[in-house]
Amino acid sequence: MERFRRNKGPLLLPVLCLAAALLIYLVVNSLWGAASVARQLSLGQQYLTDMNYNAAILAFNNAIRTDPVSKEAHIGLAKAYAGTGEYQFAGQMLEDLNQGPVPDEEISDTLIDIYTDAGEWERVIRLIRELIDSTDRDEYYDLLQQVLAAYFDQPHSYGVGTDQRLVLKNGQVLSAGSNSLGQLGVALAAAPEQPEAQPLADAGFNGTAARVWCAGRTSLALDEAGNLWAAGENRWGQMGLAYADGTTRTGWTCLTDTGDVAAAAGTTGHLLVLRTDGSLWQSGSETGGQLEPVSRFATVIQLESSGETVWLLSADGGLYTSNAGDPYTWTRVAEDVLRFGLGPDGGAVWLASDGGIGSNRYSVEQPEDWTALESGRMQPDFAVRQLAQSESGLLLTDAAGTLYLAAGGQCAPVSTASPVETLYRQGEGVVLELRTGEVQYWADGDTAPAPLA
Amino acid sequence: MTGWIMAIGFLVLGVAGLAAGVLLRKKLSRVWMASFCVAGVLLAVLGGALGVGQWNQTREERTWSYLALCYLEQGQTEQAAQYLLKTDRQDLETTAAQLLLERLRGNDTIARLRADTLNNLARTDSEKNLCSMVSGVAAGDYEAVRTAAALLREQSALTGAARTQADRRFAAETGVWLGDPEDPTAYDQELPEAERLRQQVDQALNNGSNRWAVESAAQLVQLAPSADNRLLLASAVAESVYSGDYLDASCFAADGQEPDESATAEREKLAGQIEKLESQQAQLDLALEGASDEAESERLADEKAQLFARQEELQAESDNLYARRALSSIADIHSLEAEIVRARLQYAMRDYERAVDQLLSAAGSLQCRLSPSSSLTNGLNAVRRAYEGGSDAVGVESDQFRDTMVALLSSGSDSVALASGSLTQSFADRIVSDQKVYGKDLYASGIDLSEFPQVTLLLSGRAEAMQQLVDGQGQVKDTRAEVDWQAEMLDAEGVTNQLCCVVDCSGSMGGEPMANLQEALIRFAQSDLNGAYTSLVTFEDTGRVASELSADPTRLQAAARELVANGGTNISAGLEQALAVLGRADGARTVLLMTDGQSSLDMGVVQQLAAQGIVVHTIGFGQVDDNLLQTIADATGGQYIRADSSSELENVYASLVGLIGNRVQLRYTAADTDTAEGRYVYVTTGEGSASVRVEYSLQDEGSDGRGLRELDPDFVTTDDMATRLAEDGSLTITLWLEPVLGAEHLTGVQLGGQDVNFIARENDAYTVDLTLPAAPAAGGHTLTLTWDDGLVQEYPDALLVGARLNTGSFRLGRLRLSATALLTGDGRLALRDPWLTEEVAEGQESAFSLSVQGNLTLPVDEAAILAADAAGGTMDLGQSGVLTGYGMLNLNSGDKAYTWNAPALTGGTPQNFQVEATAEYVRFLTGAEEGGETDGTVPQE
Repeated sequence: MERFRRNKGPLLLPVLCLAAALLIYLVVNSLWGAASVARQLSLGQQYLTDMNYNAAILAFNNAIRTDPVSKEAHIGLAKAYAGTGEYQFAGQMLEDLNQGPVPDEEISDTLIDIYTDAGEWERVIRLIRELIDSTDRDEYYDLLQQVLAAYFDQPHSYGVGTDQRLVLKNGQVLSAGSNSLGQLGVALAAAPEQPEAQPLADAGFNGTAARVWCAGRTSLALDEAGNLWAAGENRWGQMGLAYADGTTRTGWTCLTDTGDVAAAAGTTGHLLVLRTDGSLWQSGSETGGQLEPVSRFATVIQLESSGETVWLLSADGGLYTSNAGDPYTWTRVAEDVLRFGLGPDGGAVWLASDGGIGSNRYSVEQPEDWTALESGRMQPDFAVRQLAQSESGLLLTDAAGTLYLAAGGQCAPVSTASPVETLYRQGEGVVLELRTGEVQYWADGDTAPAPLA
Repeated sequence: MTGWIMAIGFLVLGVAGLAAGVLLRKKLSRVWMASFCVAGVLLAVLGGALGVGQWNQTREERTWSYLALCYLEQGQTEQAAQYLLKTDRQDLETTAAQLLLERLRGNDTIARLRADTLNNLARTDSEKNLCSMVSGVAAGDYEAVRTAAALLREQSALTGAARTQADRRFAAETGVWLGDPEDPTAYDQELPEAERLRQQVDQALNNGSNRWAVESAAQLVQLAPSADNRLLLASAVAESVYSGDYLDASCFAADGQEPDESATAEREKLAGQIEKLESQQAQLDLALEGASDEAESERLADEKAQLFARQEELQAESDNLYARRALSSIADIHSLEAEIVRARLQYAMRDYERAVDQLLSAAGSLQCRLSPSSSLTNGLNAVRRAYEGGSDAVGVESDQFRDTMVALLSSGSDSVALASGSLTQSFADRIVSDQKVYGKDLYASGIDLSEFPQVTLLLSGRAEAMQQLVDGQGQVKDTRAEVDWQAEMLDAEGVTNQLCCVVDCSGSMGGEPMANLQEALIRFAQSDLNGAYTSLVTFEDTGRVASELSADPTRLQAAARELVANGGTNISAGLEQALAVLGRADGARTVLLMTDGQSSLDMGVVQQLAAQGIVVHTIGFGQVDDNLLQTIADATGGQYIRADSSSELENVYASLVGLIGNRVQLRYTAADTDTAEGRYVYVTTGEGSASVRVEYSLQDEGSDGRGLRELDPDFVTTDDMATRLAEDGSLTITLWLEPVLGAEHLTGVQLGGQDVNFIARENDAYTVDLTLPAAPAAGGHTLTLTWDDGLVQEYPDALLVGARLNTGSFRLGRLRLSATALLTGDGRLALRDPWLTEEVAEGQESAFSLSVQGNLTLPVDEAAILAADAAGGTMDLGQSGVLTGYGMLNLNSGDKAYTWNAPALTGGTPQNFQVEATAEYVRFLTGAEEGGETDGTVPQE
């Protein structure tokens, strides 16, 4: 015993060394595993802050390999990809995780940020709408209002009605065509034989107009205060004045005084008004001549008409159409639509949420660089912002405002004086509103656009 | 990397200790010198052991990557995925293999992630070229994947011997030799017996020959009873039991030894007990045939059901005999791998909850924290996060998560054969399915606005959500304004729930779907239904009551076990039977309708169910008509739940248990009473855990389109009436109804306040002949239609009777009218189908040309009218006035703007309208209050 006490140190040294080594081994192993995810997440966040997105991608990827259900890792990874400009990929990743019956708020907020940076406003609106439905929070209503106000602020300088057309030039409304029912805004005149050949003249609109449209033989103009004015036919009560005119009226009549009109469209006897809060209103024979809300659609983000057909896009991606024969009945044509454009003969083309192009009437020979999707649609090799169909082919723009024409198996950029702000179909052609304010018109059958006469 | 660092560290410390002991021998005592040397040696040995372990692990992981590439070359993704999940390596080869896997699977998103990682790993030009080649492989391009995998395999960092070993292993698993084709002997080399048996087990499991796998594994255990081998045997037993393969003592007997007959004896004992129960049931069947009354039949049937339930228990005990023994055989193994195998055995015995609990318990154990196997700990942590992470766990339906689960559940064995087994696949599916949310925790089944601004909302959902509302925990908003509210349980305590399960037994349900359905129903019946009465109805071409309403859940279980799939899909027949079963019952009644197909539907049955307050929840999977099932649920205040496959049925039914019979009535008073449109009510419970939004409108929906279309004649002179009465002896007027609701639903017709006889035409429910009791007096007569649902419709001036005027041309302000006219005797002028134009100056074109398909009336001075009529010419009706009309206002061809096909100005159906004419303008006012749908009460003045 004495010997043991004397040699205690040397005897214990190897034992303690071994025990310490084993302890170190066990602790490092356990902490390493547990800290691995946390460390990768922390690294990833740091890289995001430093805008070192490639490193962030690697770090979050590693975190997901270790913990495949980590929300923080998935969100971080999406932010990292968004930081490299891969908005679509980042959005797709998070959308796949947000498919439950109730959207995840954190994921939805991240998606809103990503899509806002990408300028994908339709997706932003849809997400905000979903959050409103699931949370009813005032902040989302306010956000929706802000986004819609900015989203609807797009020019619309050309409108074609049944036998009249309206042009907006530097705030002045010009009109041409038949004035049989006062649709030109000025004193009555007999209907000319060739209304389409009539020259443009002042439509007698007082003040400065911001946008113009036509709905049948009713001409419409939006003033700078956001109120809607109309001239021409009101025989179905479509002006929303609570009565239908048997007698032809002349001049312009103010239809709204709430200052919140975003767009208007319609067909003979039926007017549709889209307000800046996304609500859709209509008037005609079945509303007793009163402007009434179309309660079926909670939020509408796009409204267009051509001839006797109207199309609208609701915030949930539903694309609907109605026609003059039964204007109060809406037919759902497609789902998951981000944006649409009209084509000849009342059809439409649309951009689906998978990036593919769809249509109910037109087909395009697939250009070489486009991808055929499982859905049967074709996906261009660039992010499409707007589109419209002409007889020359499918016209598209990208985020930079470059115009493309897809026809005959080719998709090539078309030179314009400046980037295209918006394009839409009216009459027998497509209107191109450039960012400089110039308006061009690509008539069906023409090989190139020309300044709008 | 940490492993290597520790290994080198210990080695260095050990060498340092040894060196210290030697170099300082002159300064240290002998004892201390020896102590330093021993410590140094121990540390060096530890470091060396760690280093060897790390080297082995590296080689092993390289082998997994190599094998994954072999499987990718053969286009087998499942096995490739499992081998890739075994490794933690993130080198070029492994990441490239992962990319190829996802390309083959068509998972573009994950493939993209792998490609980006791969590009980050490439350093040298050759690596970048390789990465470029691999990244260029298109989704689903098998040939490109095969080529890329072969190339990567050639460039593998495995040594020659390790590569050959991996090739041999691959050959043993698949029978395909990918090694050096000029050295086939490498494949045939004699293997150690243990290795040969292990490969035999893998082969057997791969081929689904589970019994053979058990036999081989038993021999392996006899040869080398290591923990790994015993776990392998237990895994093979689990696979066999789950698949229903027959095992007996001979499977486990060593060569030359007698099998252990204890299990056989136990089985025989159970078989004897089962046989006895079967005999007793047969006797009860005979007794049932001769039962004297219904009460006795019921008693005997109950007794038989109980015997059958006991028989089932004993049968399960017999089927699970070897699984229980396997559990006992590994009771002394306390590794994490053993916990996994125990969970597998529990699952094989169909004790799913215990199996999951086993995994969760392992995930929370100290072992899991200290385990060096990161893939195992990661897998267990993923399970725990999925079950306990709540909203912080996402992506539980992704392939990544599922792969992790499969890898975890097959980690009891070194090979991937277990991964593709049915038990592993089913267990992984269940874990994924458990994370899915079936049914809404809170939903609205009805809203009552009859006492607006007081709003009553009927809510259903999970008991917890309902209780929170009753306790006042939540928030209610009406059109963005928060409101005070009250909620109370709708069904009084003690009210018994009556449930009827209506299930599709059509031919498409055969095989696995039927097995899953039976399992789901049995477990549903076994769950806590709060004493609910349950019944079972089946349908294929016809409906059949398989089990009447009973408080005994074993009857439902017994009926479920006897289900057979055959025939078509007739949902209506099933619902009719359910109506018959529940129609006689009291209490809260619910139908659970399940189908995997499409069928026409008699909505009348659904309406009857709704009228009786029976809630129908619908469950669909496969090629169902989602809209149809949603419609049925919406019509009855139920929910529609969509499952991806029949394997989810058990979870779906389990989720419905929480929804049945929970109803709350919530009341509040809306603050904003002016806004008619865009209204909604939003309810959320507790901290926002559940919410529902219901949109509603205050506008009167109006009728459903039924009612008067036309009356003929509707415009007659008193003389004509008298003549017809004299000639025919009676007066008959034809009434045409809108083709919405036929005359069989009419209970009464009045004209001018008098009841009239009405008879529908044969074969035409929308044409009715009215026989008037007497000639109606001059004036306007209101037509009143009374329907069987209580709706009363009034049409003022549906019949106009008066004295004919000679004049057919009239002027009112600038309006010109051409029509046949009557003076009704009540101070009005009536015009039939008038033609309207403007009275404009010569040379000016009229703005419009309209015609009314109907009648217009105008209050007039009758004496003046008669005088003007006698004078002849166009009758001047004044400078201004308002004509009241009923009918349709149409544009004529020849109108200023339209020549043909113009839509009617008043819409497509007759309606009330007014025409206002002055000297300056003519206006049409539509949408006037429609012809009085009342409840029949005459307002008191």
